[in-house]
Parts: sequence; structure tokens; C-alpha cells
Amino acid sequence: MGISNDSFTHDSTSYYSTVQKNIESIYAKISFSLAILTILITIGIIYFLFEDAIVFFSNYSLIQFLTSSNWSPVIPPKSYGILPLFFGTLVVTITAGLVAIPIGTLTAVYLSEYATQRTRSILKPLLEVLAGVPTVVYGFFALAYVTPALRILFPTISPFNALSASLMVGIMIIPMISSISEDAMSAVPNSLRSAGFGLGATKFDVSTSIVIPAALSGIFASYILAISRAIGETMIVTVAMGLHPTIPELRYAGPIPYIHPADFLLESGQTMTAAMVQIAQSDLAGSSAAYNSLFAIGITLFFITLFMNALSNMITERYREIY
Amino acid sequence: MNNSLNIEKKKGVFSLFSRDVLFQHLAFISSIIGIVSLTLLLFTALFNALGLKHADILWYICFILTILIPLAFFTLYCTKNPEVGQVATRVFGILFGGILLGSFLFLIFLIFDPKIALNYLIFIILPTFLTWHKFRYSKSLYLKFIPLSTIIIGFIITLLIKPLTTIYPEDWILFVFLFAFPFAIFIWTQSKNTPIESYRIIVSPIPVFLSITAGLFLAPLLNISPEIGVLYVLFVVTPAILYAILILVSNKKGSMGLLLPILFIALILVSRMIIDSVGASVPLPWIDLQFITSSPSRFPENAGIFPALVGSIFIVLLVGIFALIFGIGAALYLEEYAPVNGAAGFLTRIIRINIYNLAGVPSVVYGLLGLAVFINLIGYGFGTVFVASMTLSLLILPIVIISSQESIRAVPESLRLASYGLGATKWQTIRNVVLPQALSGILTGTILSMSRALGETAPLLMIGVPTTVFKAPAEITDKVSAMPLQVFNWAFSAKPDLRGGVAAAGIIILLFVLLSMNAIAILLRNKYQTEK
Repeated sequence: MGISNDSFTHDSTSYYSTVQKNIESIYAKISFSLAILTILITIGIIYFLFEDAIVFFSNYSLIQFLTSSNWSPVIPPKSYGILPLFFGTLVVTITAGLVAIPIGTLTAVYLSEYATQRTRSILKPLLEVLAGVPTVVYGFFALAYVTPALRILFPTISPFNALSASLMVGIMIIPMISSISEDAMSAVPNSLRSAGFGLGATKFDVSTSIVIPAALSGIFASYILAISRAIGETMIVTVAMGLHPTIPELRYAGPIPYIHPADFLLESGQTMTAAMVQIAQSDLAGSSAAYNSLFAIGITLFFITLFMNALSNMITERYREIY
Repeated sequence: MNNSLNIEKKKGVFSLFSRDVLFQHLAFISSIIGIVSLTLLLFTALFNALGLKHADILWYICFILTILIPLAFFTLYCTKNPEVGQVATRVFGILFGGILLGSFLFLIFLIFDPKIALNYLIFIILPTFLTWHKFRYSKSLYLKFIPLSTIIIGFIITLLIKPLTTIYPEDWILFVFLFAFPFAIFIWTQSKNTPIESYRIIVSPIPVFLSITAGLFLAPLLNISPEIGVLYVLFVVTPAILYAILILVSNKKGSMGLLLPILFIALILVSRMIIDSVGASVPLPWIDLQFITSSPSRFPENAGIFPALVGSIFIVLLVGIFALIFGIGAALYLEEYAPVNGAAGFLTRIIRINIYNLAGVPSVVYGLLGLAVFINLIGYGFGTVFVASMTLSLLILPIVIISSQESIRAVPESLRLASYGLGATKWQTIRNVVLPQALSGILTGTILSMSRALGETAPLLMIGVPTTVFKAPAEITDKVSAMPLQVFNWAFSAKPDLRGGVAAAGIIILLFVLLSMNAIAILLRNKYQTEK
């Protein structure tokens, strides 16, 4: 134990006490200013992103930014419509969600309801590894190993495609869903389960009709967090999805227009984050329109993820069942 | 949840096909599907990095017969004799940890000149520690400031005598002074009350003796640099010899475990001879000593990861220092000082919520912040070590704060009350009770976040870090690259070997460094938990 002799040799003269008081207040102030630093980081992000984004929007109309379907920041004719990038992000997020949400939820059910203590102690750290692998590694795997494997199923798949990237993003966000959902399910009191079993319910009934509904707010919060992580994911999509921001053309089944999944899943695309990396690699000199558009996408991304994180926090705070 | 409530056990064979059992199997498969796919991908990468496609079936047979099966027998023997197994694991751990530590120090002394490090040790660290130790319980404020002034005076002295470093002896002799002598003193003091106490006059000088031998004779003989020779002898050979002496003197039962490294080397030699004699075609690994020690190249066979490896470690160490200083401060405020009520309490709540939200901001946005603040506002150069580490520190700061808060919160309130009861002030309580108790938890969290910083790519691309450099950084203002960026570069290379085997080799090295960091964090946490 680290208790020093300080306490025993405490001097009661007023001189020493004043010195000690000053030292105390200095340390308190230092730690306070370090805590304030975190607020400054947020303000800094918002301020600097807005500063350059405003320069961008003074030269380029916000409405065109949000509605034009052509993104070409470097190659003339230059055009800055965020819709294709937004579409790319949406494709990756939804596909990754379709992979991760069922798997993550079932994993959480297994860990919380079925697994023995020993299985849990092995599985949980292994699942955390999934989130700890560097994203550029996942990107490389998607490009070098997953796409050739997918070519067996889909011979027309392009070397850079949304499907392999989304699958990897999905695997990466599984632990985020499973760990938060499992915490929520473990918080459901055993008395509810016992009541279910007492009424003759099987373990399946108890898991799906008692535990999951009781933990629903935590489960939803985990979905939102995981999706926000998928939106912000950069390297997997930069490496594996290519550099072609496109919205697929509509096909027609008789008079009804539809988008065929193969047109966006098996083809190259670009997300907001990948577009930022592409601009950063080609043009960082500053004060060009492409450079400023970087901050326009950045602030869009920042507010989307901030909103989703805040929403997730709010759901857990407001709908938390207190047992 | 409770096995006592497990009903379906009684239903017999048909329950195999019941909805319940199907659901349970489905849930189990879901929980391992991610892990299994990642393992498959990692094995593919390892297969490519080791060039195993060049090996034929004969090689695999020889490898299994001469290495895997003998090792399996040894493992079986160890499970029958747990003491042997324990000794074997320890020997293996000592050798492996020693190689890691030796390589790490070698990289560190590539960045920091060992001559200047010695100056710092003699003129700053030692005097400051001694004066702090002497005056730490002093009542006078003036005496308390003596350690601070020794830092300043020592710094001035090191600056003044910097020109003298040209006449210092060679680096490996400095290593002997820096490490071998402290090591010898350490053995002398630690061997008290152990079985080797009666031999300690012979045992203690071993590090000095061995390192001088290594530097003078062994390194020229093996044609390696004397610095590497001295470091490996000090951190790999010496601990293993000391451990062997300790085991041989005290524990006759487990001493068979000491044979593991000898067996391992013998097996490799025998297997080499057999494979040569049968003429099997061997794998052509991309990961080898040449890969770790050379610069990137257009030619796959000459390509290496060395500058990126040094760059990554340089950046991550600075990130750890920055994040630890800022992270502990903010966590201490939130857990120990922050008021709960009133206007100030509202501010505390905002800070807390803000930290959680910052932890969810995409890393690429932090890259934009670094670009706007450090490069365009302050005017540091693109892609330097300083800018890279500052940007990544901002990125991991929220995670460091949250994990530090958790370990500070875990310190029992009774300890704080006991300290106050003895008359200690708030800061004295924090410094002497809270921080020592929470430190290993804080360090664990920080190392885990450093490993996250190690794998980050996108923020570094945003601040103009080049994806490949040909010279390892030596100064904080040098251009730097990092391993993930080098992998990114190789992944888009035009040559199939570069984007296949070499990129996979880069990934294996990156993951190896990452896993070593995580292992250190886990060891630290386990040690802390067992102490509790």
C-alpha cells in the first residue's frame, strides 16, 4: 500500500498548511483543465470542419451538394454531389447490418442464456479480437481472399466490389452488437426466467419471448452503435470497394422500376469515407474546392455519427428497465 | 442460464430435432462464425506470407515427422509431469520475451542515440531520483523543489557536454554500462534468500562477463553488429542461463524442462538435414530477417518493412506518453474532483457525455482535425512523427479516459477514507492511495488503446503521412510511415508478389506486434488481479 509518511509528519503550522492548500488547488486546476481539453477537442472538430465547409458552400450550393448525383472532385468537369457517396455508404451499412445484426444478436443470446461460464470466458475475448484487427487488414482480406472466393458464386463480380467490403465490415462490428446486447440480456433478472420456466416454457421460449423483449432497449442501442461504426469505417471500403461513386441505373419489371442488388453489390462503388481518403491522397495543398469538399463530407459524417451515438445513449438511458 | 432449470435434457433422442435444440445450435454457430472466418483468412495470409505453396508433399511429411511429432511427444510428457511442463513454459517465455525486449531496445536505440541516453541517465535521471528519494518526506517547500531543479541543471549539463559524445566509446560498451552493470546489481540484491544465495558472488557478474564476451569475440565471429549481440546476450541468453542455474540448484524434478530449447534447435537441424537429403522442395517464406531489416523496394525479394516498423513503434510510444498524461488527468478530475450538483455538476455531466460521444467519432474525422489544426493552423509539416502521434493521441484519448475512470472507480472507498482518517489531504490520498492502486488498470487500458493506434490507417492518410518511406525516422520532425500504411501501399502494388506474399508478410508482422502489445496488457491485468 502506498500510504507514505506524509500523513504522520503533518505539520500544523499555518505556513505549511497554506503551501499545502496551494499545491492542492494547483493539482485540482490541472486535472480540471485536462478534462476541459476533451470539450475543446469537440469544439475544435466542429469549428475547423465548419470553417472549411463554409468556404466550400460559399462557392458551391448546398442544394446541389445534397441533390446532384455526380461526384467528381478531382477530374473535370468537377461536380460535388454527395448522393452517390451517400448511396455507397448506405449499401455498405445495410449489407453489413444484415450480416452482423442476426449473428450478433444470436451470439448475445448464446453467451447470455446457453453458454457455460467456461465457454463464455473463451468466446468473449476471441470475439473482441474481431474488433481489434486493424481495418486495413480486413480490407486486404476482402480484396485478396474474399473477392476471389465470391467469384466462384458470382462469376461477374468486379475485382473491387461492395459485397466483399460489406461482409468484412459486418464481421468487424459483430462484437460491438454481441457485447452490448449480452450486457443488456444478462441484466434481465433471473426471476423473470424462472417465472417463464414455471409456466412450462422451454429455453427457446424464455430466450425469445422473455429475455429479448426485456432487453430490447439495450439491443437496439447496440444496433445503432454498430451501424454508426459501419458508417464511419474507412479502410475496408477504401481498399476493397474501389473508387467509382455511382448510383445504379433503374431496371424495369414491366412498368415497375427497381434496382437490382447485383448492380450495386457486385460492382465497384465509393462511400463518403473512401472519397475523403481519395481526395486526401490526391490534394492536400489547401484552399482548393476539392480540399474544402473534404470538410463538407467530414462535417456530414460527424453529425450523422454524433446523432446516432446520442440516440443510442438516449435509448439506453430512457428505456432502461430498472429491476 | 441455470442448469437446474434445463428441461430439454429429459426429452430423449427426439429432442435433437426439436426447435429448442436447433435454436441452441444456431446460436452457437453464430457465435463462432466470425471467429472461424477470421481464422481462415489469417491462415490464408500466413500460408502466403510463408510461401508454403512452393513446398511439396514430401516437405510436409518431413516437417510433420521430424518436428511436429517429437514436439507433440514432448508436450505429452509435459502433461504427465506438470513440473517439467512449468519449467519448459517458463524457459520458452523467457527466451521469447527476451527476443522481443532485445529487438525493442535495439529499435529504440536506433531512434534515440545511446550516447545521449547515457548522459540523460547520469546527469538527469539518477540525480533527480536520488534527490527525490532523499527529500520526499521533507516539510519545506524549497527542499521539495530540489528534484525539479536537478532536472533543469542536468538538462543544461547534457546540452553542454553533447559535443563530448563524439569521444565516447562504441555503443555496445555503453550498453554494457547501461544494462549489464545494473543487471548484475539487480541479481545481487534479488538473489538474497533464494537457493542461489551462496553462489551469488559467481552468478552476479555473469551479465557483465557474457556481454563483454559477446561484444568482443562473438559478434565479429558471427558477423553481426556488436550492439545486437550484446542486447540479445543480455536479455535472452543471460536470463535463460540464470533461470537454468536456479532450477538446477533448487528443483531437480522439473529440470528436464530446460531441454526444450535444445530439443527445438536440434529438431530444426535434423529436419533440415533430412529435407536436404531427400531433396524436397522447401517453402520460400517472405517473412525472414531480410524482410524485417530492409527498406521497401520495387523488387519483391528485396522488399522489407523496417522503416514502417520503426515508424509505427516511434508513433505509438509517443501516443502512449501523450494519452497517459492527458488521460489520467481528465479521469482523476471526473472521478475525484468533479462536483455533482449545481452549475459545475452540469458541466461535469456535459464532459462525461462528450467523452462518450468523442469515442464514437469516426477516426477519419480525427484525421481532418489533425490536418486543420496541426498542419494548416500551426504549420507543422505533412506526415511527421509529431503530427501523426498528436493526431492519434486525440483519437485514443476518450478511450484512455474511460478505461482510466473505470480503474480509478474500482479503488475501494474504504482506502480513501482510511487515508483521510490519517490526516492526508486530497492530493496526498490520490497520489499515495488511489493512483498506486489504479495504475496497473490504467496502464492496461492505455496499452490496449495504443494497440488500436498502431492499427489506424485512415487518420494518418488524412494528415499526409506517406504510404511508404525508405529511411527510418530518427527525429520527431522526420517524415514517417507506419506498418498499416505500408500494407495499404503493397495491397495496390502492380506486382503480384508484392500485393500477394509481401503484403501478407507485412500483415503478419503488424498483427504480431499488435498481439505482443495485447499480451503485455493481459499479463499486466492478470498480475494485478492475482495481487488483489
